[in-house]
Amino acid sequence: MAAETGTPTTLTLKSNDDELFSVAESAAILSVTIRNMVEDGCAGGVIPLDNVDGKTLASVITYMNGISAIPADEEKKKSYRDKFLSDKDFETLADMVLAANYLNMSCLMDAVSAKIAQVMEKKSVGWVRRKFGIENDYTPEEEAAVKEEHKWTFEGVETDDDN
Amino acid sequence: MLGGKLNRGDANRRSRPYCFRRCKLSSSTNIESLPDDLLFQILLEVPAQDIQKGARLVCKKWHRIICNRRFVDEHLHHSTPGIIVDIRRHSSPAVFAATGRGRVEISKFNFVFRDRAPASCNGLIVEDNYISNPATNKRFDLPAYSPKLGRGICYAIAYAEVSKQYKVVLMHCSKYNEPLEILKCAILTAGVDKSWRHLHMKNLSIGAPVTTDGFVHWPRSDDTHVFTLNVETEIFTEAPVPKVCVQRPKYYMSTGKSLSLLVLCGGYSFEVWEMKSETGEWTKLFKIDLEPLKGRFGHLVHKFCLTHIRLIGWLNYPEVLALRISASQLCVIYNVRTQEIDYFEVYYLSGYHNYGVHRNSLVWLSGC
Repeated sequence: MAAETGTPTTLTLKSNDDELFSVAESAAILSVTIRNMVEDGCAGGVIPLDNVDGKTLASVITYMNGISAIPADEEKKKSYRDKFLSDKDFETLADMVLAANYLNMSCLMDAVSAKIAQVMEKKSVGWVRRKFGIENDYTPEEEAAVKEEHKWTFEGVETDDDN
Repeated sequence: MLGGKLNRGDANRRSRPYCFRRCKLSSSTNIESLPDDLLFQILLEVPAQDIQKGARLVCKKWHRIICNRRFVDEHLHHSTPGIIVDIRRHSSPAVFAATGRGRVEISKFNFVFRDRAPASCNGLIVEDNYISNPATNKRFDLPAYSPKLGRGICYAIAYAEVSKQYKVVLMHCSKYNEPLEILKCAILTAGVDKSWRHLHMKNLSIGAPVTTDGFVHWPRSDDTHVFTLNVETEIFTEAPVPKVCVQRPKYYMSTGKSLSLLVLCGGYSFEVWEMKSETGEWTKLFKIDLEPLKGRFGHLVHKFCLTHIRLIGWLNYPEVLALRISASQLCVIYNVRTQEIDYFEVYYLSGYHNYGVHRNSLVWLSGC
Protein backbone atom coordinates (compact mmCIF):
# COMPACT_ATOMS: atom_id res chain seq x y z
CA MET A 1 0.00 0.00 0.00
CA ALA A 2 1.26 3.46 -0.79
CA ALA A 3 2.59 5.33 2.19
CA GLU A 4 -0.18 7.30 3.82
CA THR A 5 1.67 10.49 4.51
CA GLY A 6 0.73 14.10 3.89
CA THR A 7 3.07 14.42 0.93
CA PRO A 8 1.70 13.59 -2.50
CA THR A 9 2.78 10.18 -3.77
CA THR A 10 4.31 9.95 -7.21
CA LEU A 11 4.05 6.88 -9.39
CA THR A 12 6.37 5.88 -12.20
CA LEU A 13 4.70 4.52 -15.30
CA LYS A 14 6.53 2.72 -18.06
CA SER A 15 5.25 2.62 -21.63
CA ASN A 16 5.67 -0.43 -23.89
CA ASP A 17 8.54 1.34 -25.64
CA ASP A 18 10.34 1.77 -22.30
CA GLU A 19 9.71 5.46 -21.66
CA LEU A 20 9.33 6.36 -18.00
CA PHE A 21 6.81 8.91 -16.73
CA SER A 22 6.28 10.38 -13.28
CA VAL A 23 2.72 11.18 -12.34
CA ALA A 24 0.98 12.11 -9.11
CA GLU A 25 -0.88 9.13 -7.69
CA SER A 26 -3.98 11.27 -7.23
CA ALA A 27 -4.07 11.89 -11.00
CA ALA A 28 -3.00 8.40 -12.08
CA ILE A 29 -5.79 6.66 -10.15
CA LEU A 30 -8.28 8.06 -12.64
CA SER A 31 -7.25 4.85 -14.35
CA VAL A 32 -9.06 2.03 -12.59
CA THR A 33 -6.34 -0.35 -13.79
CA ILE A 34 -3.68 1.73 -12.01
CA ARG A 35 -5.92 2.32 -8.99
CA ASN A 36 -6.38 -1.42 -8.53
CA MET A 37 -2.63 -1.93 -8.70
CA VAL A 38 -2.06 0.80 -6.11
CA GLU A 39 -4.71 -0.70 -3.82
CA ASP A 40 -3.17 -4.14 -4.20
CA GLY A 41 0.23 -2.72 -3.27
CA CYS A 42 1.82 -3.38 -6.65
CA ALA A 43 2.70 0.22 -7.38
CA GLY A 44 5.87 0.49 -5.36
CA GLY A 45 8.33 0.38 -8.21
CA VAL A 46 7.82 1.05 -11.86
CA ILE A 47 4.36 0.27 -13.26
CA PRO A 48 4.71 -1.29 -16.69
CA LEU A 49 1.86 -0.50 -19.07
CA ASP A 50 2.39 -3.08 -21.77
CA ASN A 51 -0.32 -1.86 -24.10
CA VAL A 52 0.40 1.86 -24.24
CA ASP A 53 3.20 3.51 -26.20
CA GLY A 54 5.14 6.52 -24.95
CA LYS A 55 3.49 9.07 -27.21
CA THR A 56 -0.02 8.03 -26.17
CA LEU A 57 0.91 7.65 -22.51
CA ALA A 58 2.33 11.20 -22.49
CA SER A 59 -0.96 12.43 -23.87
CA VAL A 60 -3.02 10.43 -21.37
CA ILE A 61 -0.91 11.78 -18.49
CA THR A 62 -1.48 15.33 -19.71
CA TYR A 63 -5.20 14.52 -19.58
CA MET A 64 -4.95 12.93 -16.11
CA ASN A 65 -3.17 15.98 -14.74
CA GLY A 66 -5.50 18.44 -16.45
CA ILE A 67 -8.77 16.82 -15.43
CA SER A 68 -7.74 16.05 -11.84
CA ALA A 69 -6.80 19.70 -11.33
CA ILE A 70 -10.42 20.69 -11.95
CA PRO A 71 -12.66 20.55 -8.89
CA ALA A 72 -15.99 18.73 -9.04
CA ASP A 73 -17.51 20.81 -11.81
CA GLU A 74 -18.82 18.63 -14.61
CA GLU A 75 -19.20 21.56 -17.01
CA LYS A 76 -15.57 22.61 -16.63
CA LYS A 77 -14.39 19.03 -16.95
CA LYS A 78 -16.42 18.65 -20.10
CA SER A 79 -14.96 21.77 -21.67
CA TYR A 80 -11.45 20.64 -20.68
CA ARG A 81 -12.08 17.29 -22.41
CA ASP A 82 -13.40 19.06 -25.53
CA LYS A 83 -10.35 21.30 -25.67
CA PHE A 84 -7.96 18.43 -24.98
CA LEU A 85 -9.35 16.38 -27.86
CA SER A 86 -9.89 19.24 -30.31
CA ASP A 87 -6.47 19.04 -32.01
CA LYS A 88 -6.07 15.25 -32.07
CA ASP A 89 -6.01 13.40 -35.39
CA PHE A 90 -7.78 10.08 -35.99
CA GLU A 91 -4.69 8.02 -35.45
CA THR A 92 -4.09 9.61 -32.06
CA LEU A 93 -7.78 9.23 -31.17
CA ALA A 94 -7.68 5.53 -32.09
CA ASP A 95 -4.59 5.08 -29.90
CA MET A 96 -6.38 6.91 -27.10
CA VAL A 97 -9.40 4.61 -27.30
CA LEU A 98 -7.13 1.59 -26.91
CA ALA A 99 -5.24 3.22 -24.07
CA ALA A 100 -8.39 4.42 -22.28
CA ASN A 101 -9.81 0.92 -22.56
CA TYR A 102 -6.64 -0.72 -21.27
CA LEU A 103 -6.28 1.78 -18.45
CA ASN A 104 -10.01 1.53 -17.73
CA MET A 105 -10.73 5.27 -17.83
CA SER A 106 -14.40 5.47 -18.72
CA CYS A 107 -14.58 9.29 -18.86
CA LEU A 108 -11.77 9.46 -21.43
CA MET A 109 -13.16 6.46 -23.29
CA ASP A 110 -16.60 8.06 -23.62
CA ALA A 111 -15.17 11.43 -24.66
CA VAL A 112 -12.90 9.95 -27.33
CA SER A 113 -15.66 7.69 -28.66
CA ALA A 114 -17.98 10.68 -28.91
CA LYS A 115 -15.28 12.68 -30.66
CA ILE A 116 -14.74 9.97 -33.29
CA ALA A 117 -18.49 9.50 -33.70
CA GLN A 118 -18.94 13.23 -34.15
CA VAL A 119 -16.89 13.28 -37.34
CA MET A 120 -19.21 10.68 -38.88
CA GLU A 121 -22.31 12.83 -38.45
CA LYS A 122 -24.00 13.87 -41.66
CA LYS A 123 -21.22 12.35 -43.76
CA SER A 124 -21.58 10.06 -46.74
CA VAL A 125 -20.53 6.41 -46.66
CA GLY A 126 -17.69 7.15 -49.09
CA TRP A 127 -16.41 9.95 -46.89
CA VAL A 128 -16.33 7.71 -43.79
CA ARG A 129 -14.50 4.97 -45.71
CA ARG A 130 -11.89 7.39 -47.07
CA LYS A 131 -11.37 9.22 -43.78
CA PHE A 132 -10.95 6.04 -41.75
CA GLY A 133 -9.10 4.10 -44.46
CA ILE A 134 -11.75 1.38 -44.55
CA GLU A 135 -11.96 -0.86 -47.56
CA ASN A 136 -15.42 -1.42 -49.02
CA ASP A 137 -15.74 -5.20 -48.88
CA TYR A 138 -19.26 -5.27 -50.32
CA THR A 139 -19.79 -6.33 -53.90
CA PRO A 140 -22.04 -3.83 -55.73
CA GLU A 141 -24.89 -6.38 -55.48
CA GLU A 142 -24.39 -6.84 -51.73
CA GLU A 143 -24.26 -3.11 -51.15
CA ALA A 144 -27.48 -2.64 -53.07
CA ALA A 145 -29.08 -5.38 -50.98
CA VAL A 146 -28.01 -3.75 -47.69
CA LYS A 147 -29.39 -0.42 -48.84
CA GLU A 148 -32.62 -2.15 -49.76
CA GLU A 149 -32.83 -3.71 -46.29
CA HIS A 150 -33.97 -0.40 -44.88
CA LYS A 151 -35.53 1.29 -47.84
CA TRP A 152 -36.41 4.94 -47.47
CA THR A 153 -40.06 4.24 -47.57
CA PHE A 154 -41.07 7.80 -47.01
CA GLU A 155 -39.31 9.39 -49.91
CA GLY A 156 -41.80 10.66 -52.40
CA VAL A 157 -44.80 9.59 -50.33
CA GLU A 158 -47.60 12.02 -50.85
CA THR A 159 -49.65 13.33 -47.99
CA ASP A 160 -53.23 12.22 -48.02
CA ASP A 161 -55.88 14.79 -48.68
CA ASP A 162 -58.96 13.13 -47.31
CA ASN A 163 -59.13 15.29 -44.19
CA MET B 1 6.98 -8.32 -16.23
CA LEU B 2 5.78 -8.92 -12.69
CA GLY B 3 3.51 -5.89 -12.78
CA GLY B 4 2.12 -6.96 -16.12
CA LYS B 5 1.16 -10.38 -14.82
CA LEU B 6 -0.46 -8.97 -11.73
CA ASN B 7 -2.32 -6.55 -13.88
CA ARG B 8 -3.83 -9.29 -16.01
CA GLY B 9 -4.89 -11.24 -12.96
CA ASP B 10 -6.40 -8.08 -11.65
CA ALA B 11 -8.50 -7.63 -14.74
CA ASN B 12 -9.98 -11.08 -14.33
CA ARG B 13 -11.00 -10.44 -10.77
CA ARG B 14 -12.65 -7.08 -11.11
CA SER B 15 -15.62 -5.99 -13.10
CA ARG B 16 -14.60 -3.70 -15.91
CA PRO B 17 -16.80 -1.45 -17.96
CA TYR B 18 -15.19 -2.40 -21.22
CA CYS B 19 -13.90 -5.71 -22.44
CA PHE B 20 -10.28 -6.19 -21.58
CA ARG B 21 -8.09 -7.00 -24.54
CA ARG B 22 -4.47 -7.09 -25.27
CA CYS B 23 -3.86 -5.31 -28.48
CA LYS B 24 -0.52 -4.64 -30.01
CA LEU B 25 -0.15 -0.96 -30.50
CA SER B 26 1.68 0.18 -33.55
CA SER B 27 2.25 3.58 -35.01
CA SER B 28 -0.43 2.89 -37.63
CA THR B 29 -3.43 2.41 -35.33
CA ASN B 30 -6.62 3.52 -37.01
CA ILE B 31 -10.32 3.14 -36.47
CA GLU B 32 -10.37 0.13 -38.75
CA SER B 33 -7.91 -1.81 -36.59
CA LEU B 34 -9.81 -1.30 -33.33
CA PRO B 35 -11.33 -4.42 -31.80
CA ASP B 36 -15.06 -4.92 -32.34
CA ASP B 37 -16.06 -4.07 -28.77
CA LEU B 38 -14.37 -0.66 -28.95
CA LEU B 39 -15.86 0.03 -32.37
CA PHE B 40 -19.20 -0.91 -30.81
CA GLN B 41 -18.70 1.78 -28.13
CA ILE B 42 -17.80 4.39 -30.75
CA LEU B 43 -20.75 3.57 -33.01
CA LEU B 44 -23.13 3.88 -30.04
CA GLU B 45 -22.33 7.61 -30.10
CA VAL B 46 -23.37 8.05 -33.73
CA PRO B 47 -26.94 9.37 -34.12
CA ALA B 48 -29.53 6.94 -35.51
CA GLN B 49 -29.95 8.83 -38.80
CA ASP B 50 -26.22 8.72 -39.50
CA ILE B 51 -26.07 5.01 -38.66
CA GLN B 52 -28.92 4.45 -41.07
CA LYS B 53 -27.56 6.54 -43.91
CA GLY B 54 -23.86 5.97 -43.42
CA ALA B 55 -22.24 3.73 -40.83
CA ARG B 56 -24.10 0.47 -41.52
CA LEU B 57 -23.14 0.65 -45.20
CA VAL B 58 -19.42 1.25 -44.63
CA CYS B 59 -18.31 -2.38 -44.58
CA LYS B 60 -19.46 -5.86 -43.56
CA LYS B 61 -17.81 -5.63 -40.14
CA TRP B 62 -19.63 -2.42 -39.26
CA HIS B 63 -22.89 -3.85 -40.54
CA ARG B 64 -22.43 -6.92 -38.36
CA ILE B 65 -21.75 -4.78 -35.27
CA ILE B 66 -24.72 -2.49 -35.88
CA CYS B 67 -27.46 -4.76 -37.18
CA ASN B 68 -28.26 -6.78 -34.10
CA ARG B 69 -30.54 -6.44 -31.14
CA ARG B 70 -27.85 -5.73 -28.56
CA PHE B 71 -26.52 -2.74 -30.48
CA VAL B 72 -30.00 -1.36 -31.19
CA ASP B 73 -30.99 -1.66 -27.50
CA GLU B 74 -27.80 -0.06 -26.20
CA HIS B 75 -28.00 2.66 -28.83
CA LEU B 76 -31.54 3.44 -27.67
CA HIS B 77 -30.45 3.79 -24.04
CA HIS B 78 -27.56 5.96 -25.15
CA SER B 79 -29.74 8.32 -27.18
CA THR B 80 -30.78 11.77 -25.98
CA PRO B 81 -34.49 12.52 -25.86
CA GLY B 82 -35.55 15.69 -27.62
CA ILE B 83 -38.61 17.67 -28.58
CA ILE B 84 -40.52 16.71 -31.67
CA VAL B 85 -42.51 19.55 -33.16
CA ASP B 86 -45.27 18.49 -35.45
CA ILE B 87 -45.96 21.40 -37.76
CA ARG B 88 -49.68 21.37 -38.33
CA ARG B 89 -49.58 22.03 -42.03
CA HIS B 90 -49.69 19.54 -44.83
CA SER B 91 -46.27 18.84 -46.28
CA SER B 92 -44.34 20.56 -43.48
CA PRO B 93 -41.87 18.06 -42.13
CA ALA B 94 -41.68 17.55 -38.39
CA VAL B 95 -38.80 19.17 -36.55
CA PHE B 96 -36.70 17.39 -33.93
CA ALA B 97 -34.61 19.32 -31.45
CA ALA B 98 -32.24 17.85 -28.88
CA THR B 99 -29.32 19.15 -26.91
CA GLY B 100 -26.07 17.66 -28.02
CA ARG B 101 -22.58 18.82 -27.14
CA GLY B 102 -23.95 21.71 -25.14
CA ARG B 103 -26.21 23.27 -27.73
CA VAL B 104 -29.62 22.68 -29.25
CA GLU B 105 -29.41 20.84 -32.54
CA ILE B 106 -32.38 20.94 -34.84
CA SER B 107 -33.05 18.44 -37.58
CA LYS B 108 -35.95 17.95 -39.91
CA PHE B 109 -37.55 14.60 -40.47
CA ASN B 110 -38.25 13.45 -43.95
CA PHE B 111 -41.64 12.83 -42.50
CA VAL B 112 -44.99 14.56 -42.35
CA PHE B 113 -47.43 13.86 -39.57
CA ARG B 114 -50.95 13.52 -40.72
CA ASP B 115 -52.88 13.33 -37.51
CA ARG B 116 -53.17 14.85 -34.09
CA ALA B 117 -50.32 14.63 -31.58
CA PRO B 118 -48.44 11.47 -32.48
CA ALA B 119 -47.67 8.84 -29.85
CA SER B 120 -43.96 8.08 -29.43
CA CYS B 121 -42.13 5.25 -27.68
CA ASN B 122 -38.44 4.32 -28.00
CA GLY B 123 -38.18 6.14 -31.32
CA LEU B 124 -41.32 4.61 -32.78
CA ILE B 125 -44.25 6.79 -33.64
CA VAL B 126 -47.78 5.63 -34.22
CA GLU B 127 -50.41 7.68 -35.96
CA ASP B 128 -52.90 7.43 -38.77
CA ASN B 129 -52.90 3.62 -38.64
CA TYR B 130 -49.22 2.99 -39.11
CA ILE B 131 -46.06 2.72 -37.03
CA SER B 132 -42.95 4.45 -38.24
CA ASN B 133 -39.44 5.18 -37.16
CA PRO B 134 -38.69 8.66 -38.52
CA ALA B 135 -34.93 8.26 -37.97
CA THR B 136 -34.70 5.16 -40.15
CA ASN B 137 -37.77 5.93 -42.26
CA LYS B 138 -39.26 2.52 -41.78
CA ARG B 139 -42.96 2.09 -41.82
CA PHE B 140 -45.39 -0.62 -40.86
CA ASP B 141 -49.11 -0.44 -41.62
CA LEU B 142 -51.42 -1.51 -38.82
CA PRO B 143 -54.48 -3.58 -39.66
CA ALA B 144 -57.64 -1.55 -40.14
CA TYR B 145 -60.18 -1.62 -37.33
CA SER B 146 -63.34 -3.35 -38.32
CA PRO B 147 -66.05 -2.08 -38.55
CA LYS B 148 -64.61 1.16 -39.92
CA LEU B 149 -64.50 3.94 -37.36
CA GLY B 150 -65.15 7.58 -38.05
CA ARG B 151 -62.90 10.46 -37.17
CA GLY B 152 -61.43 10.93 -33.73
CA ILE B 153 -59.04 7.98 -33.48
CA CYS B 154 -55.95 8.43 -31.39
CA TYR B 155 -53.22 6.01 -30.40
CA ALA B 156 -50.73 5.15 -27.71
CA ILE B 157 -47.73 2.86 -28.07
CA ALA B 158 -45.81 1.13 -25.26
CA TYR B 159 -43.17 -1.53 -24.94
CA ALA B 160 -43.98 -4.77 -23.14
CA GLU B 161 -40.59 -5.76 -21.82
CA VAL B 162 -41.25 -9.38 -20.87
CA SER B 163 -42.67 -10.35 -24.24
CA LYS B 164 -40.31 -7.89 -26.01
CA GLN B 165 -43.17 -6.60 -28.13
CA TYR B 166 -44.62 -3.20 -28.88
CA LYS B 167 -48.30 -2.85 -28.23
CA VAL B 168 -50.52 -0.23 -29.78
CA VAL B 169 -53.67 1.04 -28.11
CA LEU B 170 -56.36 2.53 -30.30
CA MET B 171 -58.91 4.88 -28.84
CA HIS B 172 -61.95 6.03 -30.70
CA CYS B 173 -63.18 9.24 -29.16
CA SER B 174 -66.39 11.14 -29.62
CA LYS B 175 -64.60 14.44 -29.22
CA TYR B 176 -61.52 15.52 -31.05
CA ASN B 177 -60.15 17.72 -28.31
CA GLU B 178 -59.61 16.98 -24.66
CA PRO B 179 -61.23 15.69 -22.61
CA LEU B 180 -61.61 12.60 -24.74
CA GLU B 181 -64.89 10.71 -24.52
CA ILE B 182 -63.80 7.16 -25.19
CA LEU B 183 -66.23 5.16 -27.29
CA LYS B 184 -64.00 2.22 -28.15
CA CYS B 185 -60.64 1.00 -27.05
CA ALA B 186 -58.64 -1.79 -28.69
CA ILE B 187 -55.13 -3.18 -28.54
CA LEU B 188 -52.78 -5.17 -30.75
CA THR B 189 -49.26 -6.51 -30.67
CA ALA B 190 -47.41 -4.72 -33.46
CA GLY B 191 -46.16 -7.03 -36.18
CA VAL B 192 -47.91 -10.04 -34.66
CA ASP B 193 -51.67 -9.49 -34.48
CA LYS B 194 -53.65 -9.33 -37.69
CA SER B 195 -56.62 -7.67 -36.04
CA TRP B 196 -57.45 -5.44 -33.07
CA ARG B 197 -58.63 -6.91 -29.80
CA HIS B 198 -61.37 -5.03 -28.06
CA LEU B 199 -60.51 -3.78 -24.57
CA HIS B 200 -63.24 -3.13 -22.10
CA MET B 201 -62.79 0.43 -20.99
CA LYS B 202 -65.68 2.13 -19.29
CA ASN B 203 -67.22 4.93 -21.27
CA LEU B 204 -64.94 7.42 -19.66
CA SER B 205 -64.03 11.01 -20.06
CA ILE B 206 -60.26 11.19 -19.91
CA GLY B 207 -57.27 13.33 -20.78
CA ALA B 208 -54.55 12.54 -23.33
CA PRO B 209 -52.63 9.30 -22.71
CA VAL B 210 -49.14 9.25 -21.18
CA THR B 211 -46.87 6.29 -21.88
CA THR B 212 -44.32 4.90 -19.43
CA ASP B 213 -42.29 1.69 -19.59
CA GLY B 214 -44.88 -1.01 -20.14
CA PHE B 215 -47.89 1.11 -19.22
CA VAL B 216 -50.32 3.64 -20.68
CA HIS B 217 -51.97 6.09 -18.29
CA TRP B 218 -54.96 8.36 -18.72
CA PRO B 219 -55.94 10.97 -16.15
CA ARG B 220 -59.68 10.97 -15.64
CA SER B 221 -61.08 14.33 -16.63
CA ASP B 222 -62.88 14.70 -13.28
CA ASP B 223 -59.36 14.98 -11.87
CA THR B 224 -59.77 12.27 -9.24
CA HIS B 225 -58.18 9.15 -10.68
CA VAL B 226 -55.57 7.86 -13.09
CA PHE B 227 -56.51 4.98 -15.30
CA THR B 228 -53.56 2.64 -16.07
CA LEU B 229 -53.24 -0.12 -18.64
CA ASN B 230 -50.49 -2.69 -18.17
CA VAL B 231 -49.71 -3.52 -21.82
CA GLU B 232 -48.08 -6.81 -20.86
CA THR B 233 -51.12 -8.24 -19.06
CA GLU B 234 -53.64 -5.93 -20.81
CA ILE B 235 -55.30 -5.31 -17.46
CA PHE B 236 -56.67 -1.90 -16.46
CA THR B 237 -56.29 -0.50 -12.98
CA GLU B 238 -57.46 2.73 -11.45
CA ALA B 239 -55.58 4.71 -8.83
CA PRO B 240 -56.77 7.79 -6.94
CA VAL B 241 -54.82 11.01 -7.41
CA PRO B 242 -53.42 12.24 -4.04
CA LYS B 243 -56.18 14.24 -2.35
CA VAL B 244 -54.04 17.34 -1.94
CA CYS B 245 -53.48 17.44 -5.71
CA VAL B 246 -57.14 17.31 -6.73
CA GLN B 247 -58.52 20.51 -8.25
CA ARG B 248 -55.09 22.07 -8.59
CA PRO B 249 -53.50 22.86 -11.96
CA LYS B 250 -51.35 19.90 -12.97
CA TYR B 251 -49.41 18.18 -15.69
CA TYR B 252 -49.00 14.44 -16.16
CA MET B 253 -45.69 13.54 -17.77
CA SER B 254 -43.66 10.39 -18.31
CA THR B 255 -40.30 10.02 -16.59
CA GLY B 256 -39.71 7.06 -18.89
CA LYS B 257 -39.98 4.57 -16.04
CA SER B 258 -43.03 5.95 -14.31
CA LEU B 259 -45.75 8.55 -14.34
CA SER B 260 -44.90 11.91 -12.83
CA LEU B 261 -47.34 14.55 -11.78
CA LEU B 262 -46.43 18.21 -11.54
CA VAL B 263 -48.85 20.11 -9.35
CA LEU B 264 -48.84 23.87 -9.07
CA CYS B 265 -48.21 24.96 -5.50
CA GLY B 266 -48.18 28.72 -5.75
CA GLY B 267 -46.20 31.21 -7.79
CA TYR B 268 -44.12 29.38 -10.36
CA SER B 269 -43.46 26.37 -8.15
CA PHE B 270 -44.53 22.84 -8.84
CA GLU B 271 -44.55 19.84 -6.55
CA VAL B 272 -43.31 16.74 -8.35
CA TRP B 273 -45.06 13.47 -7.55
CA GLU B 274 -44.38 10.06 -8.93
CA MET B 275 -46.67 7.07 -9.26
CA LYS B 276 -45.58 3.43 -9.16
CA SER B 277 -47.26 1.94 -12.23
CA GLU B 278 -47.70 -1.49 -10.64
CA THR B 279 -49.36 -0.33 -7.43
CA GLY B 280 -50.76 3.12 -8.19
CA GLU B 281 -48.94 4.41 -5.11
CA TRP B 282 -47.92 8.09 -5.18
CA THR B 283 -44.83 9.65 -3.62
CA LYS B 284 -44.15 13.36 -3.27
CA LEU B 285 -40.54 13.95 -4.28
CA PHE B 286 -39.35 17.51 -4.67
CA LYS B 287 -40.26 20.99 -5.79
CA ILE B 288 -39.20 22.75 -8.93
CA ASP B 289 -39.31 26.44 -9.63
CA LEU B 290 -39.98 27.95 -13.05
CA GLU B 291 -39.56 31.54 -11.86
CA PRO B 292 -36.19 32.00 -13.67
CA LEU B 293 -38.07 31.67 -16.97
CA LYS B 294 -39.95 34.84 -16.13
CA GLY B 295 -36.72 36.82 -15.96
CA ARG B 296 -35.52 35.34 -19.21
CA PHE B 297 -38.68 35.53 -21.31
CA GLY B 298 -40.77 38.10 -19.40
CA HIS B 299 -40.05 40.75 -22.04
CA LEU B 300 -41.91 38.76 -24.69
CA VAL B 301 -45.34 39.47 -23.28
CA HIS B 302 -46.99 42.40 -21.55
CA LYS B 303 -47.53 40.61 -18.28
CA PHE B 304 -45.74 37.28 -18.02
CA CYS B 305 -47.54 34.71 -15.95
CA LEU B 306 -47.66 30.97 -15.52
CA THR B 307 -50.30 30.53 -18.21
CA HIS B 308 -47.62 31.45 -20.75
CA ILE B 309 -45.60 28.39 -19.77
CA ARG B 310 -46.74 25.09 -21.27
CA LEU B 311 -44.90 22.00 -20.14
CA ILE B 312 -44.08 19.47 -22.87
CA GLY B 313 -42.36 16.73 -20.89
CA TRP B 314 -39.24 15.48 -19.17
CA LEU B 315 -36.21 15.16 -21.42
CA ASN B 316 -34.03 13.85 -18.63
CA TYR B 317 -35.85 13.16 -15.40
CA PRO B 318 -35.52 14.65 -12.80
CA GLU B 319 -33.46 17.50 -14.23
CA VAL B 320 -34.34 18.57 -17.73
CA LEU B 321 -37.80 19.77 -18.67
CA ALA B 322 -39.05 20.67 -22.13
CA LEU B 323 -41.59 23.48 -22.26
CA ARG B 324 -42.74 26.26 -24.48
CA ILE B 325 -43.66 29.87 -24.08
CA SER B 326 -47.17 30.13 -25.45
CA ALA B 327 -47.07 33.79 -26.43
CA SER B 328 -44.12 33.10 -28.71
CA GLN B 329 -42.74 30.36 -30.91
CA LEU B 330 -40.10 29.53 -28.33
CA CYS B 331 -39.38 26.01 -27.19
CA VAL B 332 -37.31 25.88 -24.02
CA ILE B 333 -35.09 23.19 -22.58
CA TYR B 334 -34.78 23.99 -18.91
CA ASN B 335 -32.54 22.33 -16.35
CA VAL B 336 -34.49 22.67 -13.11
CA ARG B 337 -31.41 21.93 -11.01
CA THR B 338 -28.81 24.22 -12.57
CA GLN B 339 -31.48 26.61 -13.96
CA GLU B 340 -29.69 26.51 -17.29
CA ILE B 341 -31.88 27.55 -20.20
CA ASP B 342 -31.60 26.58 -23.86
CA TYR B 343 -34.19 27.53 -26.40
CA PHE B 344 -35.02 27.51 -30.06
CA GLU B 345 -37.72 29.00 -32.22
CA VAL B 346 -39.95 27.30 -34.75
CA TYR B 347 -40.83 29.67 -37.56
CA TYR B 348 -43.88 28.64 -39.50
CA LEU B 349 -46.78 30.63 -40.72
CA SER B 350 -49.56 28.51 -39.32
CA GLY B 351 -50.01 28.97 -35.62
CA TYR B 352 -50.83 25.53 -34.27
CA HIS B 353 -48.16 22.91 -33.67
CA ASN B 354 -48.04 19.77 -31.58
CA TYR B 355 -45.13 19.15 -29.27
CA GLY B 356 -43.93 15.94 -27.72
CA VAL B 357 -40.91 14.12 -26.34
CA HIS B 358 -39.24 11.70 -28.70
CA ARG B 359 -35.88 10.00 -29.12
CA ASN B 360 -34.21 8.98 -32.34
CA SER B 361 -33.41 5.30 -32.37
CA LEU B 362 -32.75 2.31 -34.62
CA VAL B 363 -35.56 0.36 -32.98
CA TRP B 364 -37.83 -1.63 -35.21
CA LEU B 365 -40.52 -4.23 -34.68
CA SER B 366 -39.41 -7.81 -34.38
CA GLY B 367 -40.67 -9.89 -37.26
CA CYS B 368 -41.31 -6.94 -39.57
